[in-house]
Amino acid sequence: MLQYIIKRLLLAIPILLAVVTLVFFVVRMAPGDPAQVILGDSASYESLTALRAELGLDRPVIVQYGEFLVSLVQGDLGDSIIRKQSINSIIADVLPYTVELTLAGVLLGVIIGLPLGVFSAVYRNSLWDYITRIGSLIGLSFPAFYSGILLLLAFSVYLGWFPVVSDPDMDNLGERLYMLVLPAMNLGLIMMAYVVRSARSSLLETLGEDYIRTAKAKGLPGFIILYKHGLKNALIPVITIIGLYIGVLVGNSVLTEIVFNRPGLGKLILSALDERDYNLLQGLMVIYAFLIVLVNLVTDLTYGMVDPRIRKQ
Amino acid sequence: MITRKSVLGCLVSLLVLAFTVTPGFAENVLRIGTLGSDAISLDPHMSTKTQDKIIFPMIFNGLVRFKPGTADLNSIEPDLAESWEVSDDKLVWTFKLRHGVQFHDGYGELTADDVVFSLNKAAEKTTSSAYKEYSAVKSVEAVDPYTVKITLSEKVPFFLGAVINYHGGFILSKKASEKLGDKAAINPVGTGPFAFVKYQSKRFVELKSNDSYFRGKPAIDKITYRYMPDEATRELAFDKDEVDLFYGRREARWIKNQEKKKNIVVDVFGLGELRNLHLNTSIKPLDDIRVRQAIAHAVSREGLVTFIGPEVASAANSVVPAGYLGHSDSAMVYKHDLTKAKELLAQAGFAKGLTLKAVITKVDSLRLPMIVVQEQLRLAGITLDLQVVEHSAFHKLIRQNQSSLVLYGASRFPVADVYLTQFFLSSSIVGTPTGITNFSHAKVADDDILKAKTEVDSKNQLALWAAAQDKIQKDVYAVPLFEQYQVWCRKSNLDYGYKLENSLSNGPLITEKTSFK
Amino acid sequence: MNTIARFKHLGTETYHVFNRNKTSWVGLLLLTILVLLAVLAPVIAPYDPVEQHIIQRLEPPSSQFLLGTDYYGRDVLSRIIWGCRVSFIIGSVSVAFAMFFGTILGSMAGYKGGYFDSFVMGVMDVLMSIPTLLMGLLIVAILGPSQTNLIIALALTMVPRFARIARAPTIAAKNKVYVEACQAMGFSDIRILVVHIFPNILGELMVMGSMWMATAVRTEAALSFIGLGVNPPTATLGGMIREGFKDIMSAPWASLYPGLVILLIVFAANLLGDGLRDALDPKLRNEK
Repeated sequence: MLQYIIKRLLLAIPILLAVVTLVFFVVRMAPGDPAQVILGDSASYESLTALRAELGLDRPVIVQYGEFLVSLVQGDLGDSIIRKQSINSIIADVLPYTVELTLAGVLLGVIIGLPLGVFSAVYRNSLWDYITRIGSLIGLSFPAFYSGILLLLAFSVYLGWFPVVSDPDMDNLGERLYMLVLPAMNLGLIMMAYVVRSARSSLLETLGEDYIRTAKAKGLPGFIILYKHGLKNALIPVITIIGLYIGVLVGNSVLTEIVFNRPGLGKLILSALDERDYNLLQGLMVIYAFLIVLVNLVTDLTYGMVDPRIRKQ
Repeated sequence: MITRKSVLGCLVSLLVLAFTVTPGFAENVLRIGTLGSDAISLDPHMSTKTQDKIIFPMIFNGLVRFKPGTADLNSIEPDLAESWEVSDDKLVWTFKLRHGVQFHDGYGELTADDVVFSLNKAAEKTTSSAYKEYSAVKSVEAVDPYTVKITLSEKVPFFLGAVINYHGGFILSKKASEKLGDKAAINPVGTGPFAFVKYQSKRFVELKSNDSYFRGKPAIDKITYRYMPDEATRELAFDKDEVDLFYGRREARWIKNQEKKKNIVVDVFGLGELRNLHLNTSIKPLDDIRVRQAIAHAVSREGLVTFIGPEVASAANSVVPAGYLGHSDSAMVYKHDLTKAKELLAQAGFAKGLTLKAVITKVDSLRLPMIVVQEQLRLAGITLDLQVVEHSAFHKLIRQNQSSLVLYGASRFPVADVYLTQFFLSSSIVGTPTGITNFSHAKVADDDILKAKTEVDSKNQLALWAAAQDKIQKDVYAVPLFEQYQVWCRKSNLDYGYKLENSLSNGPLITEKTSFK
Repeated sequence: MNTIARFKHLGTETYHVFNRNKTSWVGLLLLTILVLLAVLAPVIAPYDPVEQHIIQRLEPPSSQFLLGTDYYGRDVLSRIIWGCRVSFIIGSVSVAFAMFFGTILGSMAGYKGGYFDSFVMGVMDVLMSIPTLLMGLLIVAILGPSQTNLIIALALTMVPRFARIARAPTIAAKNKVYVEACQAMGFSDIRILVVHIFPNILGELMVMGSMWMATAVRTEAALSFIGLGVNPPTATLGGMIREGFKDIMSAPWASLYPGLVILLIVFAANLLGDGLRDALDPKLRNEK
């Protein structure tokens, strides 16, 4: 097992390096100029050139790339071009918001989605099953910004239960939870749809396996079979679905942050793109890529733990 | 499912409400919802973004200032300087500083050294985006701790503009700047009515009252200046009592909706931002004056003013904003006339129509009117192939001659020279080493603009500026479209402490007298 | 069984199962209606979608403007109909591109194996490590927003998905006796891929195609919502939501209706994909 983990970790390194390289050069290809953003629209060509030189943007790209790699290996993402703050600290400032939003969304999705999916599978083809299936299909068809707008309209504007701006004071736990409810619900409802579907189909698959049929034939009570054999095996695909849809989850969290005007990595990345803050942009992309590679790794490892066949491959 | 969770949400909200009674009642907190997603820089010499310009006069002072609520060159009054004198040749300016003015955070008393430091910083290319305004400054000297002498190498159109509470004119603490280094840009130290407390990127700036402010202790104890890039969010936040003052939408229809609400006052004020449509004459077929005239005839100012609403916009008659010293009312303006536009196009060989490429920022204030212009041009047979790009890409592309038409809006220091120099002087042509924002590649008015700069007789100066405007408009280097005013909404019990008619920063000035009634 | 017969058999069987699943018919019907709406846009849209009525801006639905007008006084209904067209073009073309290149790359990788396989799949892994929406944002930022560039951006994010789907069954099929037999008989690789391997993965490709079309439509809308979509004055559904979001309190019709239509398109495509999956999945198929 350990050998497998090491092998997978080693495999992740070239992928990360390639992503980092790709991102570094790609962000610099977009037209725009951070110096212009800093100096404003009445700045002259001369002063822009001077500032670019001061910011080190006039040096050969390959030199900048080398520097970036060296500091990246040391765990330092460098400084923001526009605000000269350390990118590590800029990201650390908003990371908790994104993490708590994503975790709350996933948790909500799993807690509600899993039982619904199991119900749906057990009472297959019942009215309840149909409603759940259609409901979950609608859920995963929702563009996250549209569902966000609807939630905002319903709960913040018409009912007035939640604030319009979900920008909590991090030291105030009550306010934090309160402002998390709507955005998390937005992510959670969509996540729930994915979980319901995957739980249902994997449980159906397991229930169709021979050993379950044997158990049934032996006369074991239904719920014991369901728990002992069915549910346990059905849980793993549910875990891995998070791995599979991490990309969707990231996209949805970006959109959720926009609609609810909530701080986080997503809003940060949009403004970095807007301001052509190359350093911040590449830093954020590295974080995202790292996250996704990590989640994929964990997913694979989970599979590996459960299914020895994969390890041997 | 939704109901179950909404019950949950309700419970959570009740719980939270029970625990968090807002501590804001004890002190006077002013919560401002501003535009923009973040500060670009809190260094007043650097940033020219509206969201930053508004906060600077709360923290900093200049040597002189416009009377709060005005931007009239005749209403300039002392700020950090008690008095000033100027030599007969208008080249030597001597300012006497106010005694006992303290910088925030214990950085000590303001002295001439701070003024020398600040003005030198403002004149430096790498530390100031306003450095060009100081190119005529030969030296800044501290005669004694309370006297500053500024010597100019040549006469400038309006020198006080360089030491007013605007852009390069803000006075910083030398000690603080040296001690904080790079951090000074996010930790401003000034002498103004409010002192900087903290800045959270993308979220807010917090200010507190400067109790030892030289004009007296401010009535407001604390300001939270929150970045809310989304218009709808600002409006909703006000409705839910999460902000007291916010940047409104500059549109009549919206204002009418707001005014139906209770407890709200909508202020519409200047300086207006002029929107000009610059025609890039280096791009074919815009080198043909008939095509340019056709565009001028195709565009309808009235249509644009109707679109925005006459309460917030007025049709422009010059490429220099109204109210600026040197603005002319008699420059040539082409009337909206589709038949004429089509005739001119036909004469130029485009009887079947014409396609032009242009880029526009995704920022609403320029993009929305540009889409109206696009439709107006379509009716005259001109297809505008319009690409919406991010704001910084827009700035880059329009400086690389990538856009045949550039819709641009700006407010500058209210002297015609600034506008004419930046937008229409040949040395400001984009892409050249001295380039600024001359997108049209205009050269036609160079003589007048340059002569006016050093003209001693003010009548002649005005005549030169008027001639420049007429030439630019006659040859259609730019089509003046409309001026759009500033719109801010406040709680009806919030009193600025002065009458707000104009503001150089495009936002209301919060002074020591601003209070909740 | 010759190739045509194999396809035919697969087709009829799929049809039967598909037929049993009523929901997929609903999906197909819904999608057909929406596609018809998009195709017939020039005929059925009551107004020119770019025509501005400056004095009738943000008017509520009325007999003159069935779904009201937008910020520029343009007819919301007409813009929705034309917007559907853009959504379908972008969705289907990007999926078609991704499917074409992804399948070729994936099956070649699986078939050839070795370093070629490692390299291709490595590149795919790299592409997959950047979330779809962010990838779209980056590409549009570089190339500039336009319909073509959006299609390129979306296709690029989807290529790895199709490559992955095509690769695994190719490896499985490669080792089957009949493929080995073909190789022994000296058939060209391309012929073996097209005749013997492709039919095996066609089903899953169709399922993924409709599912990813749903995702493509949704991502396009999201990019337009962020403000980097198709250029004005072209109507897009996501762009309409963005434009209408400002006035959501006073004129909800300008953003809620286009959103509803996006939801319908994505839902219909998902419904169809779901039905196809049930129809093609042998496990689920045999059970009934």
